[in-house]
Amino acid sequence: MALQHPMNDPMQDVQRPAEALQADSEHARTEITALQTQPSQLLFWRAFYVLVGSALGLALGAVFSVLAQELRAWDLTTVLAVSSLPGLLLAGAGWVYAGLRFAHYRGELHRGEGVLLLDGVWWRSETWLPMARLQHLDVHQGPLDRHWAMATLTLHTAGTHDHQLRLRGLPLAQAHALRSALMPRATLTHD
Amino acid sequence: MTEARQPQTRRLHPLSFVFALGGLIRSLAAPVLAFAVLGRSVDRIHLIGMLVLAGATLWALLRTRAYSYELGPGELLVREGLLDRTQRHIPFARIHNISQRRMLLHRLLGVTELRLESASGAKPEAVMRVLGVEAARSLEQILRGQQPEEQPEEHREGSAEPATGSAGEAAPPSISDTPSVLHALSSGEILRLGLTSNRGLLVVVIALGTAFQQEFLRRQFAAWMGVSGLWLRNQLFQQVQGQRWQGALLELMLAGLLLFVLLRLLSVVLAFVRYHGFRLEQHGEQLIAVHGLLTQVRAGARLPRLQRWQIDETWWHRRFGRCRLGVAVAGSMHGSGSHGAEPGVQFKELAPIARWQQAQALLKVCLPTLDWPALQWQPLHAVFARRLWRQARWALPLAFGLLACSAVGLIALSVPAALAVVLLLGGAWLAYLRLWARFAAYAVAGDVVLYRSGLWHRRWVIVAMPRLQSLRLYSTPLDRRLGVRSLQADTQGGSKSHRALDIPCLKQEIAQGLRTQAWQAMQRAP
Repeated sequence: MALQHPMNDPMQDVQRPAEALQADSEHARTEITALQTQPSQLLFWRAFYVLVGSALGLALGAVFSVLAQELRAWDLTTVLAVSSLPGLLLAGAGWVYAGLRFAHYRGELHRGEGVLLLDGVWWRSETWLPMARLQHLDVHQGPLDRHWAMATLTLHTAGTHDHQLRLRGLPLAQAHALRSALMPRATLTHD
Repeated sequence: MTEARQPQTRRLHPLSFVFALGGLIRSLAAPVLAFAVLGRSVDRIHLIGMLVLAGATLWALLRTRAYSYELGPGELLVREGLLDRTQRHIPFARIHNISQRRMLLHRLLGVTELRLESASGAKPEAVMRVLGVEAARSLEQILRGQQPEEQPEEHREGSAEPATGSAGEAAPPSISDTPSVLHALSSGEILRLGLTSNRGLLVVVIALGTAFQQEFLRRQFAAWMGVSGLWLRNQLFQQVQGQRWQGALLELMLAGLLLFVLLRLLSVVLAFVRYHGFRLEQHGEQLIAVHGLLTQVRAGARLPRLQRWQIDETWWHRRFGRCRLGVAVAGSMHGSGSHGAEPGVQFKELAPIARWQQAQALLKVCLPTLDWPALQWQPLHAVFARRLWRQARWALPLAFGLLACSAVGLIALSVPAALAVVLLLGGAWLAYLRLWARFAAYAVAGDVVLYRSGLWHRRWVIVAMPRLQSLRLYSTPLDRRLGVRSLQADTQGGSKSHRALDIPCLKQEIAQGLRTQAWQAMQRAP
């Protein structure tokens, strides 16, 4: 396995097909633990996106009703009915979007190496954060998180644009366990 | 070689209080002068102002007298504060950059302002305002002598222009090293730098922006614009009325050209003020850049702290056969560089302007394993299609809008003419996309990843994989349809507005392979 190590021949690694890399990572004894996002996070997202959608929809409906009043085209009940439609539609869209986001949200702990987070429904991002670059970690709980015994683990690096990564919907115990597992032990040497 | 020395308490220069007063002097100097010189009758406001000034001077005097520093074993001890005394222990290992700034008043009085910057870069560890030139030089040498030196001294040959004789900078040969000049700019180079930069336009825009915030200046500007606008409109009207639209067009073009020439001249003047006497020296593993005409700046950065390099080559640079090598240093303060005439204390450029061979020689100093001629540039996948779709989002509605306006009669173009314009612009746009796609490419050489892009303004982004902070594979729905991913990476000291590395349109397997390779390289501590 030592001869096949990527660092011996960096250029070769780029052209190798994905399957060989997968086999290599299994050979290279990287233990991958999937981090289960709590179902309560789905509830939270559903509530959040329904709220956002209905607020947007109500705003649109209000604009429409004001315009309709100016034009005096229809009577009041029709106007009210039509202007509540965007609110309902966008709330439904928020409900669906929350479900999709929850399905695509996945975190993984690569033991000894770092953390991976997959996020996003249409604009998907796969963020890889190595342990050797972690500056510090925060465990944060909002009021609803406390009710559902969830927490958000924030990982900070020394980068500028993407300097922090948030893992949401972790059980509180697991968040604390992750924090001690990932905590930078040796003092990072500043060169 | 460290000498055992008795820790002696040193103080700032006796004239430091002048610089500590700063802005207060400027606002209160006028009434003071009026009273002292002209002997006018002083009303109460001016008297109060003078009292405030006297009080502030006394305070500044006492405060700068209370500032002292000591060189202990392995650390710098700073004592400051008048009412609340603070003692700070700064280990030598935490001082990463020592930079100096000398404005005109500093140079007249023979002093300098010294900044000691730390690894985090958020705030300087210590700002010594001001020290005498000799004291600053000896302090810098001592602090540099304490840095662990990893590289043996090497002298660059042939690549740097012959160093301008450093008259007046007769640095006594330090204990351990003699500096080697990596790059120096002659007056001709600074002239080319001014001609290729648009800093003149930037300065004018910023000056207008700040001037507009003042009511008085805004009204003056509006009045002036009104008068000249009226005159311009009359001129054009006369031309158009006399059916001589060619003359009007010619006048407009000449006016535009004159404005452009004036702005470039301003850029040249600003380049001279900012970069006069530019010299990049290497002391062991530290790079020091010295430049400035009125305000002299001496900024430093250590080689292992350089995170990301970028070579810029605009259309103007290509006329002169030059380029610009910029660098991002870990711990630099984001976006606080100065844009105007004053040179900033930040270390942002290894070479503001250089020939290609010089730029590559400088890169070789920073990345010895990078062999530019042997690079294998790999083209990106489906770049043309991706950019076409993304830009068509707003280009097509614009085209349709133009055609609709001409059909309705909102603009003075007949429909066939509008169609011709749209087709012409569309053809130019497609040609631009095709050329852009042809040039964009990436390359991997050992631990270094390079990405080049652009057509008129070409950029080469160079990062070292072990110095990356995080990785990201990003895809939009269009990307997934085309089977590509974007590989993004972040480093220290970059810009908050864009990522350090952002390679679009990599085939999925290639993106994942690169990601794996970078991931392995990032497992070690930086």
